[in-house]
Amino acid sequence: MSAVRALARIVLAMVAGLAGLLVLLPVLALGVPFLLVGAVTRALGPRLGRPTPDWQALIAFDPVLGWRPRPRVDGRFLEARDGDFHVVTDAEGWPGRHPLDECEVVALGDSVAFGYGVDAAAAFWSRTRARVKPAAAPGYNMAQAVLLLHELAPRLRGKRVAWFVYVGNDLYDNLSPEMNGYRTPFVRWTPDDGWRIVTRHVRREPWTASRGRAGQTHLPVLAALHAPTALAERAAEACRFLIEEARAVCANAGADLVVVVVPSPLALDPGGVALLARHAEPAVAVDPRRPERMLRDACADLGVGCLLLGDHLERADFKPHDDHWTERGHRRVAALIDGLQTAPIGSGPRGA
Amino acid sequence: MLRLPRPPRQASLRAFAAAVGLLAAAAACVASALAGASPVVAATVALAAAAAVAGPGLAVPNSVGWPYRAWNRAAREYATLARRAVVLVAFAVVAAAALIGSTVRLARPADGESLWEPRDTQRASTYASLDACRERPAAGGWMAILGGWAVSAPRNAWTLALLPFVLLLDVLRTGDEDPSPPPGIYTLY
Repeated sequence: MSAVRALARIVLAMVAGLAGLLVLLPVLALGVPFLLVGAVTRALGPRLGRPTPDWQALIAFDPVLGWRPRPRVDGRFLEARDGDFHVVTDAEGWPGRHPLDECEVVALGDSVAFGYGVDAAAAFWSRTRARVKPAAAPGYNMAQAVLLLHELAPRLRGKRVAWFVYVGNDLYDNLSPEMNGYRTPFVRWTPDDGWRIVTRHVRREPWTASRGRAGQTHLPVLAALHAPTALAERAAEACRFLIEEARAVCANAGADLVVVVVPSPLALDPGGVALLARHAEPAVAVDPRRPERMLRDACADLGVGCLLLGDHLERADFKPHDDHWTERGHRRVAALIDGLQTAPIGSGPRGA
Repeated sequence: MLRLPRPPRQASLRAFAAAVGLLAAAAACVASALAGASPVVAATVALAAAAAVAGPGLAVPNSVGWPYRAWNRAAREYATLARRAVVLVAFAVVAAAALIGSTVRLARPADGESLWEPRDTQRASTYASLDACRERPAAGGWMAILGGWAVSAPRNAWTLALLPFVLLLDVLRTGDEDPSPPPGIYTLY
């Protein structure tokens, strides 16, 4: 290429570039407020608060349960999809400042009972008239809850145990030796022993032998649990075994057990149900309330109280991008837990 | 650069309230000046606007959670549209430069003729410069690399006209361009 052609190309490109910038000027002017607010927010943010640790900082290894919350925590933790929230734990690691021995109701379970995702002051156990004490940790499955119940049994006399079971992951996690790489107690059936809780694999080292429902598998697994599938049947048998175990522990301890069934938010929204249906096996009908009914029937057979939150909560009671409750959801659950307390110990809602 | 930090921590919510407060103060100041107000009145109005807009968010950060998310959504939508406009104009610049003609042979070859060219060995310095780019990022970053390449030969020089557009595309990045799934897409429940 001659120097003249190169020079002509440069001139033409420069003129076109300048004209292009002029054309873009109004478009770019619209972005100035976004640029300024973004820059100032990023610059001021670190000066207006301490760095917030991720939720992993909340938990510590436990050789039986797999993990438990750290004791005497008082700080903000980050929920990656929503924002940060204030967590307070007592000397044993359970949320709230009041000791377990002074409570009327023990809220047993996973992150929903823990109050994960909202400030401690907004969690349902801070809003009830009854003195409610969570004995819960993010990620616990029902097998971990039963093991925890065994540990707490000597301190449960005269109390009501409200066991929060989250359909969105507990039903599968009960059958899995890991949760997101963390080794978890789980239940296994063998011809010789029937259903048993397995803990011998629980160690600090990450689980690498299988990936469970992580990532792309989560929705197909959830869809299968909402349909008449072999997985749903197996999960139902495991739940029945665990509820029976919990009933026996509570009966021996002189406590009253009520299973509080938390639906997946997908089951409360036509769009969510359609999403589940898209991930289900062909020709398998998805029933959004199936897991709740399964748990209710198991409780009724075993003479255990059961409260289906799917009858009381709406999609808006759950966060848009996260399976935990909003503050409104916590207020509603607080009212329901107070409603439970109007029934005397030993007369919980039998399969209501 | 346009998007606010995600997810919104308390500190980010406070900083956002302060930033919008500053923006409101600037807008109020300009409006007052245009209305012919004295500097004292303009300053008072600006202070009042800043306090009214930033105050609630600084006192109760969660109260600006919804506006924060709405602002972020608006910034993302704006950035997406603005990037399309910038790309369109950048292609127009390339098209304008191409009016002079191309050294690349684009026409279909005649029968029996091949477009294959013998592969020449590259100069050793070519590989050395690639390694240098990977191991030691050039001072000035990718802009310096692109600018250096543009001025390395007269036939590359026209690409300097594209630099402002590449810079704009970088500023308008939203972080959503990478299609790979985020690590750990669910948390403990």
